[in-house]
Amino acid sequence: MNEQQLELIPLYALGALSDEEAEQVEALLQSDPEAQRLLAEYQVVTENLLLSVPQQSSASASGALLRAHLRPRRRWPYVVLAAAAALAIIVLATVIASNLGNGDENQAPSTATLFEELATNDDSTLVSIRALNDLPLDGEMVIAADRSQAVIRINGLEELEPTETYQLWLFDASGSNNGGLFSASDPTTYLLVPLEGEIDRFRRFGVSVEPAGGSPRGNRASGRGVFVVDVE
Amino acid sequence: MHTATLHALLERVTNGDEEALLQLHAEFNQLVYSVAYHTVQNQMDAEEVAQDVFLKLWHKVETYDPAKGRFVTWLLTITRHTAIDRVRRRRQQTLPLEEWDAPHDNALDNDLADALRTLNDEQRQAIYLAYFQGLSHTQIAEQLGRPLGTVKTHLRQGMDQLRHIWLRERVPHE
Repeated sequence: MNEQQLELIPLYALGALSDEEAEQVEALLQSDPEAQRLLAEYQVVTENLLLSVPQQSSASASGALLRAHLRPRRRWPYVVLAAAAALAIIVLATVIASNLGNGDENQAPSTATLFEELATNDDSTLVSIRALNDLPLDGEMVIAADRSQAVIRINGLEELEPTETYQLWLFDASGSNNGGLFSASDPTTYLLVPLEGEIDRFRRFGVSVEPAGGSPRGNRASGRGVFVVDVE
Repeated sequence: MHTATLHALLERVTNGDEEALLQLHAEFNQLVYSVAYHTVQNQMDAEEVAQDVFLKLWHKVETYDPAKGRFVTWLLTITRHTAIDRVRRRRQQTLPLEEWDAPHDNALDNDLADALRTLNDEQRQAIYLAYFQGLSHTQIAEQLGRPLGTVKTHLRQGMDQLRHIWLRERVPHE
């Protein structure tokens, strides 16, 4: 282990390295016992950093709010998971090459059913949407355990005039991408996100109100924001 | 909390026992909330992060491996990552250094905090930005307007100082 590698280890323990530097350290750690020992010592330091923060009092100390949000832990039989996955593939293949279409198509029972099936899987991730412009909305996105599917559920999305439409945007490292047009359903709207792969290449999804036919700016929103949801 | 008690509670959580989770919440919520608050710097976000962490514990308790370290470390690491994700979304500003020097009562924490006070302001700030804000050394250098080499030196020297104090080893003079 040379001096330069030695200097990277405390920064690796802090999580402060670039991806490339972190890979170098990980390669070193696989073969160098001295590097492993040093990292273990720096990890004691980072553990103590966590324990040294000033203590604050939480308003939710009683746990009542946590109790209200608990869903039962369940284990789905493999055959049910396999059936849900097959259904999701059929739905995804139908939707992925085109716009999301109008709200009626998107309200086909399969999208709502897929949301419910994913949401009751313990290994799925649920992320709350964040309403913009003080709109009275709420909802969440469920991300499948294998990160290949995501469905967004929105409560309170209002119906638009015929001259307007909702448009979904997918944000990645290159910017925004059109995710399709859709209309609201009362009381709950379900959106199957057209991922074309794993969700992790995206950092955020958002919805805006656009003229009928979609944003005149191509792959950029032109209208008012409705909500965003971040990929976790 | 006694180790046997902790492991018994974790086993009960695995079996879907909500009361066991709430006992863990009672035991660890202040620590979780404090780490969350230290990163996000506001009560509302800290409450949401803390709740997210215990919901993650509820759904993913099986991923904790006692052979890899202490439960509290595992839980607070989840907290730190969850809080950093929140910060990245909300683009929080640099923590004023004096916030990290706030007095507190726990005897263990006083000992740990004393070690932090031996660092100079630049070292302490760089470590805070890296560990509690999730910034890389490059991002820290950009945010603080300092050379990259200087930031790396601050991080390394600060960590070595803390390692020296907390592990009671002599750090070679440079």
